Amino acid sequence: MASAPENEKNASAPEKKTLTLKSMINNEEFVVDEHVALQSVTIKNMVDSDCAGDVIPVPTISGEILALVIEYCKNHANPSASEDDLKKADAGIVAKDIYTLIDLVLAANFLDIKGLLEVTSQKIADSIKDLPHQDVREIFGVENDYTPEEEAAVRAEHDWAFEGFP
Amino acid sequence: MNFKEAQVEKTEDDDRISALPDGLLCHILSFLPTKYAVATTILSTRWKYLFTWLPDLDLDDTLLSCPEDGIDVDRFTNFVYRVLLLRKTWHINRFRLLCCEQYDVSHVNAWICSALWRNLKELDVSFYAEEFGMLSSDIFTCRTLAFLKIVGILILKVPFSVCLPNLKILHLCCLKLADDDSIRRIFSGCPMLEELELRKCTLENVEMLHISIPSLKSLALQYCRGNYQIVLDATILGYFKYHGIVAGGYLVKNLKSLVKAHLSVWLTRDQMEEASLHYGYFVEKLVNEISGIKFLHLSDLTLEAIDCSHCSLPTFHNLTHLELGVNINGWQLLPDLLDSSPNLEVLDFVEGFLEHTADEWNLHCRLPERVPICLSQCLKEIVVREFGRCEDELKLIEYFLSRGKVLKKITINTNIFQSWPSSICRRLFVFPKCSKTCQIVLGTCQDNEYRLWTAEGEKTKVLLDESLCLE
Repeated sequence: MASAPENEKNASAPEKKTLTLKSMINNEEFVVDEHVALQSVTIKNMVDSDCAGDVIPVPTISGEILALVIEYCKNHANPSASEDDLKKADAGIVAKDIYTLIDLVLAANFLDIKGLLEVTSQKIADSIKDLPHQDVREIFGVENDYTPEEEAAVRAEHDWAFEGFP
Repeated sequence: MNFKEAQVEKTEDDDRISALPDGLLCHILSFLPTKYAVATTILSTRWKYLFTWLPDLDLDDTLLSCPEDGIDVDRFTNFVYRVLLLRKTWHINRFRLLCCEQYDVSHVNAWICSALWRNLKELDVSFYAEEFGMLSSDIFTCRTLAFLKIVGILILKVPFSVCLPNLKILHLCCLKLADDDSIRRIFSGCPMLEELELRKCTLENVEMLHISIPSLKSLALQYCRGNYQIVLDATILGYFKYHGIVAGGYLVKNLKSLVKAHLSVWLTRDQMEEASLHYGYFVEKLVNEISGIKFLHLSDLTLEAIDCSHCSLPTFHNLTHLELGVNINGWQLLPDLLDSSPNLEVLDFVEGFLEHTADEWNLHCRLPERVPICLSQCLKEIVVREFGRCEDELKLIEYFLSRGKVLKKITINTNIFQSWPSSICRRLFVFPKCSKTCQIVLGTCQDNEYRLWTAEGEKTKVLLDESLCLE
């Protein structure tokens, strides 16, 4: 059933242009419809200025992360998706462990995809918000390099900000 | 996803978040209220000065932990001054200030101005003062501002010259606007304005609320006090929401692009008694002026006001989606409304058939025996909310089912009871249907759970509310 409309489309419309994105970390390649990939301002600029070859290399982003980014772009390139659908899909994409989220925020930043940057940043911010600092340090692996005296001074300096934190 | 668990599974323990570039970390921190962002200074020296580079500031005095002590006004005041003074970056993108306690207007104005002067794009201030204080007039000459929301019991003193060339969204709430001239000056200084909301504003000395903004796409006027006339001239306005008592007159010069309207207008007792014809005429005029729309919401009080005014309804040729809050007066009007909507596709009783349906109303008898055009030709979907299981309501469902020739779906939802009794389900499913393909959907909504019911009275599936799905 799914192939019928596909065939119809192919018969009437010219073949869709695709781009190949290649993760330079593990050499995984993804063939993506051009309009999906162009949600990345970085890729759009490359295509617009004719810098994009047959395969667009994407440095520093693993195949696993690139797949998530492409999933996001596909969802948002679908004109029939309702706002609710997109919200749910976004929530699914960012429901990941903190290391994946950090990779994802870096990817969104590098590829300049505003919406993805917003949802990943929001998710990371939310995970910091309600936790005691010791837990935040533990979860994110932040090493406390303050001396006890320095830490006390920081606490005193911004006392109102620390109210409510255990 | 539980982050602590994720951490246990992962063996990596390098500090990846601290390794993010400053700009990205600040971007992430700007999604937090500034209080929490400043509190991250304690994590490590890497985080000590990040808050001084935040692009967005969100200052909220209610984020205090000790409710028994209340909000410490002095400490919050110091905090805001420190955050503003210690900034290392010139720009502020978004400045939100929410003050539930009373602060000296001079402090609030100083905070607002220091943000305004830094190429501010969004200003969102909520602030309560005991007396009507004055807000800095610098707000009206901030050339970078795109979003402006002011909530506060304040007098809005509008300077002679308003210059907000980039303002797209303006929300004013609880403010006192001095006179016609100040309103005219605000609007004429916002050539790009697309969205305007005036809510609970005091317009006592305003005679004419003249909204003539060529770029305006969305307008909401809600509960504004005063006896003013409303003049609307907005060529590309697509959405209009009006909640409040009937104004002292409506003059619509141009609303030809209007697609969606949400009306909840009512007559005060005085208006009803003294000059019902006079005000009724205003209601009629307003309803007639919006006759070209596609989506209309009419509250029960609006229907009552229309009914009181004995006005004749226009034909809503383009109307496909009608939301109604009906009370007993609304039912008098419903036959006329259905007749006036020859292309209606969706009819949504947003507050149920009647807030407290009583069997003796015999509402179905108020509907005409003959079938309105929309029911026989185009009405595809009926939604009934807050269904109360009364005999009267069942008869109404029967009425619509037996006359709706092209009905595809009737959805009957309720949050009044938890389960559909099988006796009622069985009756609903065997009502004679004029449209054989019409699907009947019964739902209950309790504690964020939406359940669907079949003829056997058993739930078929449980759909969780979206917020729960996301967990």
